[in-house]
Amino acid sequence: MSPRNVLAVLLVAGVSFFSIGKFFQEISDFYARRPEVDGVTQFTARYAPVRAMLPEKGVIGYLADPGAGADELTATAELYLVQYALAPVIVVNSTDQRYVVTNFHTMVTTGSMADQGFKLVREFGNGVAVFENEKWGKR
Amino acid sequence: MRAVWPAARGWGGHDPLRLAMAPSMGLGLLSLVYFAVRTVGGAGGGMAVGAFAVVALGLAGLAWWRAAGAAAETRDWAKGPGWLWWIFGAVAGMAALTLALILVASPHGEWDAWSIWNLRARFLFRAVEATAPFDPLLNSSHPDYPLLVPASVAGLWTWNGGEAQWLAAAVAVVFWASAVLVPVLVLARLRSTTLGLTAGLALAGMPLLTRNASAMYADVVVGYFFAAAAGLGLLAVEKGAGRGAAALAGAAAGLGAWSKNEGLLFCGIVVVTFVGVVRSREEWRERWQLAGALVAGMLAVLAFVGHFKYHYAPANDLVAVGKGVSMGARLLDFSRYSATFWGMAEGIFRFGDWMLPPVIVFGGWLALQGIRKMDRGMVFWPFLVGSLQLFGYLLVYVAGSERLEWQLETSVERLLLQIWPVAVLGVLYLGKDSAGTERRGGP
Repeated sequence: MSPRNVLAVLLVAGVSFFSIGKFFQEISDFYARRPEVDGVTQFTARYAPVRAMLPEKGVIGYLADPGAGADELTATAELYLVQYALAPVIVVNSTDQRYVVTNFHTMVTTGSMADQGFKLVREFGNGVAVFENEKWGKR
Repeated sequence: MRAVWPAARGWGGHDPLRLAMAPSMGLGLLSLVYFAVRTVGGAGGGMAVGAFAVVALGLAGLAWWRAAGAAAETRDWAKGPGWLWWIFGAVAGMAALTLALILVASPHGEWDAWSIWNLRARFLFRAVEATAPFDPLLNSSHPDYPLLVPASVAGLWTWNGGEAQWLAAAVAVVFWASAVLVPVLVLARLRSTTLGLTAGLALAGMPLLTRNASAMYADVVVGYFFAAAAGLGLLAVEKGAGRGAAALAGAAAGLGAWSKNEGLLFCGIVVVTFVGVVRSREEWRERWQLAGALVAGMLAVLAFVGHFKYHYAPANDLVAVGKGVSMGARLLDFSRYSATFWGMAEGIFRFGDWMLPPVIVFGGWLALQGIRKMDRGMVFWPFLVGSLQLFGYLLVYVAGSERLEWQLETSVERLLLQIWPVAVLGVLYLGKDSAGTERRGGP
């Protein structure tokens, strides 16, 4: 190979080597400090018992507490993760369904939910519960 | 691979490429059979995986039978410079390790993985009805997106007897490895090992390719199929690999359309340019003899895509939005061309997380190597295919995008990544061989 050809290959090789090397270093640092369980597994694990009690198909409503201070992006991500956990039951971002699954970050009493027409079916802890919408089908 | 592109028994010259492509093409076939048996046949996942096993065995038998009449392939592989192998090994090793670390740390992938691709795999695997992921209530998961990735993951889960997240990760690894290896092997077979390894450096050494594959998105998958289609098309014409390779080129383009909607545009570009980009009447005649096989291979896959689009998929976002505001009016709005052009130009300069912009690196590479004589259309065919795909994306942004700025900001990088493997193949195929390196002989 002529020096020009070697230089051409080394140009691509050098940029590739140092670019992927820097990325590898960043990921290695992140890997060493990563949480024991990844965020998606941790979040969706809260919904595993809900999935077990749901039928093979159907639609369930979704209610998250608005006062938790989450930004819109996080709220959307959490809704999608609940859908990911509960598939193949479809999760809709509305309480206008017979059953509603919750994603609460702050304390909400069953009494305050009852005042809004939601009867507790089962509570799973960590802000996760299934309520029956008593107004559903009556409008 | 040998059922469609036969070779005499024993180790053939194209076999390293066949081996590199076999897992990804196998996953493509699994996804097609899985989807067809579950939707048309109304059967469960177990039946679908059983049908795939029968098809795979049938193809293996066909490959054995066709081997008897196939010509032997020359094994003119050359070693290439040792120092280049060491650099390639180091770069590919670091990239593979990085991919593995991310997949272990985030086994469900990033946003689009758990909100679209793996979500649909779960629907296909868990639901009794295969049509479950296409419910209009699931609009946010883009039910119009084709099914290669989710159906192959669901097929593997069915075979495994349960949802093992490592199998979804394995699909990502297979397509990442194929996207790196196939351009390497195509160039090594057609030109020189030095050029092949240079392509491998540009692909394995790009952090964005590893990042996107580890996120379990479908851009690396569709990008791989673009490069595979172009590579097989080149081999069919330039290396005399014939109708078998041309049919597989068409099938690879079709599998691109079965991976992401952008693949449909690619299929059109491949057919038109394969027949039309010629420099002589003789070349044109030669190309027509292979075009039938290429189109047949493509249509065999597009039949499944058509079945999915016609029966299950809602209208694509861009088309649906186009109903509200005339696409024609957008096409006549010249400020949109300017915004899209500059958005894409900025994306090209920032692309890939490389230390230098790829256009500068490859501009420098071409300046040092020199450009080959364009005596045949095939010399610039892969580069042209990639360029036209890029131009198609520009038009889609101009005509279809409702939130142009936002879409340019969030998607240009991924669209460029889809073109990257075929662009690397195209640019390196345009460049001259290094003096004194191995040159290739006959078929």
